[in-house]
Amino acid sequence: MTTTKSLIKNNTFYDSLTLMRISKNASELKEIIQAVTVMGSENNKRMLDDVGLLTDNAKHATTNDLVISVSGKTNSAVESALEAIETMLVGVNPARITESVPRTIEAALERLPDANLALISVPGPFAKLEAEKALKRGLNVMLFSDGVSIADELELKKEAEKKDLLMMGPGCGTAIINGVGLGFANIVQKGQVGIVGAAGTGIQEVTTLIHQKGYGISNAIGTGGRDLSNDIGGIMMHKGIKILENDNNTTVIVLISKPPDPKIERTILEKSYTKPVIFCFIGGEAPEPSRTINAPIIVTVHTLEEAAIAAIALVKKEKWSKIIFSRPMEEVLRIAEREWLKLNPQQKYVRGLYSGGTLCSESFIILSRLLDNVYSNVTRSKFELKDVRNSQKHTCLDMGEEEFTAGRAHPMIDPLLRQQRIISEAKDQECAVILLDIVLGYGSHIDPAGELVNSIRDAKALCEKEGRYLSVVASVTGTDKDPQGLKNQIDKLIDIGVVLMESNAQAARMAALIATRGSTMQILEGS
Amino acid sequence: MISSTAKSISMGLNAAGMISKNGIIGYVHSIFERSFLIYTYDKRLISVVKKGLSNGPINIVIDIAANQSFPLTLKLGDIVTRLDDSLFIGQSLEILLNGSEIWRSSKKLLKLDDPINLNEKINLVKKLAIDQGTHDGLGQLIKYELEIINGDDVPNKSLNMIAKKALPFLKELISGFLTNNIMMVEEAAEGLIGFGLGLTPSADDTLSGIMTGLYILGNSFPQYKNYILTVNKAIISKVDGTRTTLVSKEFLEHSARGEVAETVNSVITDILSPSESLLNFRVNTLLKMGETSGTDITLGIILGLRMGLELIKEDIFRTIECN
Repeated sequence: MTTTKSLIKNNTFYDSLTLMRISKNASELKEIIQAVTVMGSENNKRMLDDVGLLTDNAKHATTNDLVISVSGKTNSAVESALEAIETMLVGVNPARITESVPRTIEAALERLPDANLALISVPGPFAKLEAEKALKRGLNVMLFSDGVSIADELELKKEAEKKDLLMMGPGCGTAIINGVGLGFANIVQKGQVGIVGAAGTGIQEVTTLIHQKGYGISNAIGTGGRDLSNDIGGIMMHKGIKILENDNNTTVIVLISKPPDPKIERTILEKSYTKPVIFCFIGGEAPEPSRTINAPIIVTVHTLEEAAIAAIALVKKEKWSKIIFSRPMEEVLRIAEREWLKLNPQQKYVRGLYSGGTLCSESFIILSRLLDNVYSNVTRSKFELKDVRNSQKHTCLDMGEEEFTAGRAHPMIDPLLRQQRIISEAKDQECAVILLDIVLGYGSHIDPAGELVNSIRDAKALCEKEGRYLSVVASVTGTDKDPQGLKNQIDKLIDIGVVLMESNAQAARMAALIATRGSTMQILEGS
Repeated sequence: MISSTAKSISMGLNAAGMISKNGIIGYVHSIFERSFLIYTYDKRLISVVKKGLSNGPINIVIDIAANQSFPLTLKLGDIVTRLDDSLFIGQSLEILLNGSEIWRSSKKLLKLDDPINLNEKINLVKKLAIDQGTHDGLGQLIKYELEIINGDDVPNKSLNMIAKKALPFLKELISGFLTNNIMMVEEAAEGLIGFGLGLTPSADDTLSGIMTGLYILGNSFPQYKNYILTVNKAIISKVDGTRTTLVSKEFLEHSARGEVAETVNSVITDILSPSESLLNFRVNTLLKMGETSGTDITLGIILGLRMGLELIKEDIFRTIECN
């Protein structure tokens, strides 16, 4: 028995690729026979009729209405598919046709009086004002905007603390609140792992890896990158921990950040926790054993992937163990060897071109442990890359930094500068491996891999013409539920010969392995 | 108080006509990332687009960059008023019209390239569209354009649902055109209009490409111009508010008169004229238009030009021989 149902969204328009992708993803759901999403024109309705998807309510749709029709083997499968489609659509901004969109917090609250969170993304100079308005009305705030002074941030966070509200940001790019992704979040399933993070793509990497392994997230609270500085004092990290401690759905807490200010780090470490807690302070030192940490279980990890693995193990109440590569070492070596055998002797450097800041920091740390002379714009050490336009020996470049984004969109949205940089790195005769991150999810470019493959192909061709080979290693931060489709993105990269690894950390290790012709294997095995 | 000011860099001839008089012009109908539409009181659309987007007959290009936002206060339903040298969009935006260039679709008579070059250039466009286009709409059919023109079988197993369903209507349209059967053209158009995904459905984009290709080619052959106009009129006779979206309706009606965005126009004129030098670049720009629109229009251009060249091929040879 087949059940067919339609959902009509009046006066709504989504771009055609989104609709195509949603139809395809929905068609692949369990017990679903087919799913189609089209505008309600006469010819589209005729097509729906031809394929048995024209329901009574779809017949009344007009050319300005979006028709979503699904047929499946059971009523519940169809209902679930329609619900899943609604969720997929939530992540995509429709163009607005006739319904007015509120332009002020007041107007938005009139429309949605029960709302308890405001996501604010306005130019920096107006951000504080809007955040103040929201806090005044008792709303938790996610402040996507940056360009807010540290004094204003402190003022906002103190105000929020007084009112027992969240003030995520400024510059908070990612959060997942009760299953709803905000900013650059991925679509992940609900689960027991709660995260507080001062690292946007760090949260994305951990949440997606947890999802990919079949587990889920209760909440992921972003704090903004400066929260753990001495000036702000970790106000929102503390608040986030408190929320997760009191959240019945959270059984394991993960804290993610670049190295915090030592004084603030101490206040985090010395808190009392009632739930198992994982510290993932990228590039930071492990807490000293002498420090008293009151928690049932403490795990300190050094990579985002380890944070995900440890979190899952703690949810399962099992011991966790580190992994260097997901695949057997022999297979990893075979892949690496296949790449390095094609390199010329003068090709020896890794060039990491990153859209995600935390992912770049993580790779910088990993590569610095494996290789000498790794330079980056994410460090203020002697290995700081002075001229971001020119790579130096091994380089990890965060292309989301201000020097690249002034006057243009973030590289997770606009791939142009990364495309150009791939070509210019390929021209360098000493470049052996280009290392990339591809970040999916809400807000990211709708086809980031698709945008990069042409440049990668051109870069490889350029090297080939000059008698060289260019190795490209990448990882994709995303899930099967993301609007871009994880498999679709992975396939595009594999098709053009990119070495695709299961996590950002593994990609960095693979890049080092290739560039050193396998000589880092010993260090990796030792670790 | 008006919150922002922008300057109009250029405006299409039709848009200029629609805002030529002082008074209320219409209201903001829809807002997109890079443009917003004004619905005029005589039921037409004007598209206000950010700098860097193509000129077009109904476009007003303003000096807001693609990575800048429209004013936050801009909202649907804002009344649009012309007052002397300014166009006011509610309380949100004042567009200064003084000094704006008027853009018009090129309708000049083209000196046609020789048939061998024309064929090679269409093949180049086809190759680019196959390699770099987005084939979720009708783009999959580009590979089979010659089979479609000749009415031959197309292996349709691998086609998506949209392409599969549109294919017989496209063949019918071409057959009607080549056999002077206007009723057949009308019937085929009826099956195509509003079909496919998106705000400008795929089949509409392809029809737009066909009509524009035919129109521009027909400009160089006055003896066929009336026939081509009749065909285009037959196609749009089936366009109404129940069959397709308002935006698509507007674009189709302009396409029938050869009035299209500069991006589309320049691909066609580059194919047809001997002096082309930027065809590659122009096709790539067109392929990036919208989501599937650029590729769907490209299919239309290829089909339209093939249809037109088939119709007038005797005349082309005669012209070349005379030269």
